[in-house]
Amino acid sequence: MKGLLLKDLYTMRSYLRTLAVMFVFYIVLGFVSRTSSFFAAFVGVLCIVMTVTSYAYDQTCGWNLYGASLPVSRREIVRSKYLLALLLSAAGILVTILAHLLFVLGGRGGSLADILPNALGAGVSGFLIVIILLPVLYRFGVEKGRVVMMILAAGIMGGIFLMAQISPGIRIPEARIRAALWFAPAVLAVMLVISYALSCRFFEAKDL
Amino acid sequence: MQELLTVRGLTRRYDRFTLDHIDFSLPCGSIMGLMGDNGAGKTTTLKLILNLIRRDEGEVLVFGKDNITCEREIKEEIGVVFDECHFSDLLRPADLGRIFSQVYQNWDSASYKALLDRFALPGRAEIKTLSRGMKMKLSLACALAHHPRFLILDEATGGLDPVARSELLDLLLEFIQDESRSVLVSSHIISDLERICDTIGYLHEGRMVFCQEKDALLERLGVLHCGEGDLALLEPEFLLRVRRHQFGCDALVECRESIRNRHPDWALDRATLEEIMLFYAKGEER
Repeated sequence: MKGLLLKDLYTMRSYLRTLAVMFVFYIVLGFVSRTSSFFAAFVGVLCIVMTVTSYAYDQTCGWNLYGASLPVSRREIVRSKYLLALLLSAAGILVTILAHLLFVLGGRGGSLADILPNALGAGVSGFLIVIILLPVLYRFGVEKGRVVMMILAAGIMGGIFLMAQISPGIRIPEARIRAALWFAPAVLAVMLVISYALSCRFFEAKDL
Repeated sequence: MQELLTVRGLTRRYDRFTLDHIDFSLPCGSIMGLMGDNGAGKTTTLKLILNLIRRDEGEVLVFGKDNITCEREIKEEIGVVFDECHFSDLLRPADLGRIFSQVYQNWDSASYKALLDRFALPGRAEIKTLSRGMKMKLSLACALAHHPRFLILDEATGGLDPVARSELLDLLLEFIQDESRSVLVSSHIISDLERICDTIGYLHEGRMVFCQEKDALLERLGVLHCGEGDLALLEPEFLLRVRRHQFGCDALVECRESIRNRHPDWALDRATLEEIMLFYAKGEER
């Protein structure tokens, strides 16, 4: 599996370099505009985009066919993608912490207490979307998978909009939100197990 | 002679095509060629051997082990070259060396580097800058560097210039010098198969029409050029296929020497593999 992970990292090498430059640019931009909120979105999107890009590269060049002829199981091929997403999330969290630290210590706003929740929120939300996306990609491929994801995203946004229209005055107490967050790791772990099982099932059943 | 590969009753059904109970075996120390027209089932057969697609019936034994239950163990000793290079264009040959050193237990980095040097492949150039021939050589280097015992090539020589093809074929002949190894190669380029193969399997519409030693096959079969009158005189058991044209008939026959002895004045030539294939694809039974 280490080899498969290396393959993904080497493939995205030039992309990672571009992202590093973009990240430095965004830090400078944030310093100038005294805004750091877009980091969370940037890092979350990064995890999603890079994992999907990695899958798309594999599909374009036919790597899955070749990879399955190697002495690695199809489960390992799937596992390497999840590991990639996990590593990207972890890297995103670290980078977000670093950026926020620079902001706070540079007197650009924010507080030290907010750094970790912001960073974790960014990394975990990106990883969460990836674990929803990956089984869709393994089942439908990249092209159809994009359509499925757009439908899902439209459904989620539509649902949120509808709820906001139906119950505009409802406010959930912060204490309840904090209490619910204690369950978040367990929920994420269960979702990860289900996602991985589905991805393996779809990929193992596929004729390459 | 010990068999490296045994295929029995191998079957895969699709809506409009069935690979139908394929049987053949590949002894150690030999090269087998799979030939057939487009859609005959050559790639399907190779993919079934590699468990890239599920079989509906049959058995595949590689090194005496089932290809599904012992898949990982078997694939440590198999090298595969497909018709296309399936490495990302953004990778470099040097990257592949590092990747595969983590995949294969027997990966030999020194051997890989020697192969890259032999094929004049720059280690740090992105794969997208390599020509088709160079990509094929890179695929071959990756397939050979872990010292496999079984090499599978699926249309690997298609699209290569004659020099590159010749180099690749020479390498296969070199590979087979070790009698514990075998090669299974599928190709449209019949002259390549004639040059290097010990055994030829011909697939047509999902069936194995024949699987025989090449030299014995070419020694036995012939092409008879004659009219309908002479064709009627030919012993029926010798006639395999016939193609009729406005000037007469061409008939694919076996026991060429027996026919020559009985009918010394008949125009009877050795059959080439290409002619054999055309007769089975386009000819009639009588």
